[in-house]
Amino acid sequence: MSLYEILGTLETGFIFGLVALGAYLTFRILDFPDLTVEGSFPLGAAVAATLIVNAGWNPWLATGAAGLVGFSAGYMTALLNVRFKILHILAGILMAISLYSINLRIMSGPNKPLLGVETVFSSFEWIGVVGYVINPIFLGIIVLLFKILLDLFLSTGWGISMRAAGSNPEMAQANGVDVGKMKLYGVGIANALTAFAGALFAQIFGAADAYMGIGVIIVGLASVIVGTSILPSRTIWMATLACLIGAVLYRLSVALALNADFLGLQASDVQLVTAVLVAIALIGQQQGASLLNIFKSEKNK
Amino acid sequence: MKQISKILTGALIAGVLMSPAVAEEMKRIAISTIVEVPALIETRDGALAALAERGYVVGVNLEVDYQNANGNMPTQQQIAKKFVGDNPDVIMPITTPTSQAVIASTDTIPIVFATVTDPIKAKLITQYKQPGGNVTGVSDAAPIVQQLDLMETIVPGLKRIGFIYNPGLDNALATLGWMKDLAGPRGIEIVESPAPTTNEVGIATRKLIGKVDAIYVPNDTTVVAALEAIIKVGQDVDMPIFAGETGAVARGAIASVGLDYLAVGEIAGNMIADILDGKKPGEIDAVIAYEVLSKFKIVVNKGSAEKMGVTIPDGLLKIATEIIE
Repeated sequence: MSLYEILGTLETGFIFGLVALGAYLTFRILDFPDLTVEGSFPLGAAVAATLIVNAGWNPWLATGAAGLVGFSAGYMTALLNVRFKILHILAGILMAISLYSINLRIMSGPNKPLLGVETVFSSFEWIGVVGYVINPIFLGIIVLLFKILLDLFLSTGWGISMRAAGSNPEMAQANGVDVGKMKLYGVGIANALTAFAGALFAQIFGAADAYMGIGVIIVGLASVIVGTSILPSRTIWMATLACLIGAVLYRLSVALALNADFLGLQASDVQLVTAVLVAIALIGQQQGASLLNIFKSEKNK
Repeated sequence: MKQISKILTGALIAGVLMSPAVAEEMKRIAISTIVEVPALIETRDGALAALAERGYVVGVNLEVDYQNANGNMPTQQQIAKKFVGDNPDVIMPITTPTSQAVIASTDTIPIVFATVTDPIKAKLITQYKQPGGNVTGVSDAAPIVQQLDLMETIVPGLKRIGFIYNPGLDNALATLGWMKDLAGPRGIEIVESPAPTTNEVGIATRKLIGKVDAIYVPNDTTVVAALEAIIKVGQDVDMPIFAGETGAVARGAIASVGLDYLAVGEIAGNMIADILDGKKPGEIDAVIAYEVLSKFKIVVNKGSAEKMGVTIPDGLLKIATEIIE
């Protein structure tokens, strides 16, 4: 694996770290299995690409706008659930499939190229360091920044209400927390993060594409589960860090799978190899812990 | 993850046996597709065949790194990064998003794209002639003129054609645009019927009954996946069904003129060989396959024509490359 490829893997890993933070917020904090992200990831890509290419916006503004639009998509999903009592999973599915059509409208077609235009990544050219080195550093800083912001938010009064609304809605309601409102904002924030990630991904990929969202939910969830299993933690601070580590590990598994040709594997085996590597990481972590326990008990005898 | 077909393995063994004791300089190329479907695999195999003809034989003096993203764009992005990191002599991306990801990752390594419908709209190149930079390649835009000729031959008095497509696919949209442009002057109207998913194809077909004289199924993976549903409706109400993909004729469509994707791949393969020989990619003209190919695949299905209430003229049967009874 070349240095270039490793840095490229980190780039994608960090971008999906943002998706993982969103998944952590919905699945773990709010207990709201949100499937909107399959649509909000390409939504962010579509909004940013269209604003940059057609409206000539500054790429930073366009990326920020993508995050805002993502927020409203998540807000809508939660609204379907909270206000109209549609089952949360179905609300997410409805939003994701409608976003597919909306994305086609936004881009007036399924693909919007971002080759040869100003992107957030071209703003670093003046530093004089090549893109493949500066981009992962920039994305690393961005994702850490959002992690810290999320940590800080979850320790404010609002954040604590949100955590209460997720872990024990009845109790939270009884204590005066507006559980519905918490869901609206929480799912909104998660989708803002996802759309923001989609906007960044499109700019590094060279295009926004209607099919960019395929598998985003799986990657987000796998990152959260892998991260929090390998790095079990009681604090929010550690859990969000674990999500980021999980996202990078998932991407590293894909990279390893791409380079596994010496085992006689075919190109189409990438998904299988990725799944096996993730499973090995999880099993290895459990077995490692239990081996440690056996060792300890042996010593106690 | 090199997928070397049995034939190529054979060529490899033969090559090793025949090659002189002195090891030749190895050239390295990297090929990627977004998914594995027949047209894309044929493109790759055609390129490798052309390369072998030009003296670049896999395993002898050519190393191929073949990757497929399993439909996943982040994986496609990682493949692009892997290729650029490995620094091969030429990268051959197949399909539009694959090409965009590779082009965004390097402006130095020569790139020969293939099976991209509209490379100018996708911003891969700015012009076909002497595209400049590190990119050239071949477009697989559908041979619509030939397709319309074929339909008019089989359905006399053709006035309206139904067009079933997934509005989310760039190539289907491009085909729709061209077909409208070309059918208009012939006095033929194109009636659109969108089907965003495979499940909606049946309804999209029924909506057209009574409104059109024939139905055209473009090279649209979503719609082609449900081709049998369209064929069944066609047989029930005597509606002639045509397809952009020649493979669809064996599955029941009446006829099709299509690109031979092995030939599309061969064009790209020759471009790659030119670059390996020392030419600059920017000096090699990018091409639209149907403009440079003289032979097309014409496939007709006599049985289906009968079931859909039309007969195929003898003149057409004579020039067909393949006749299914």
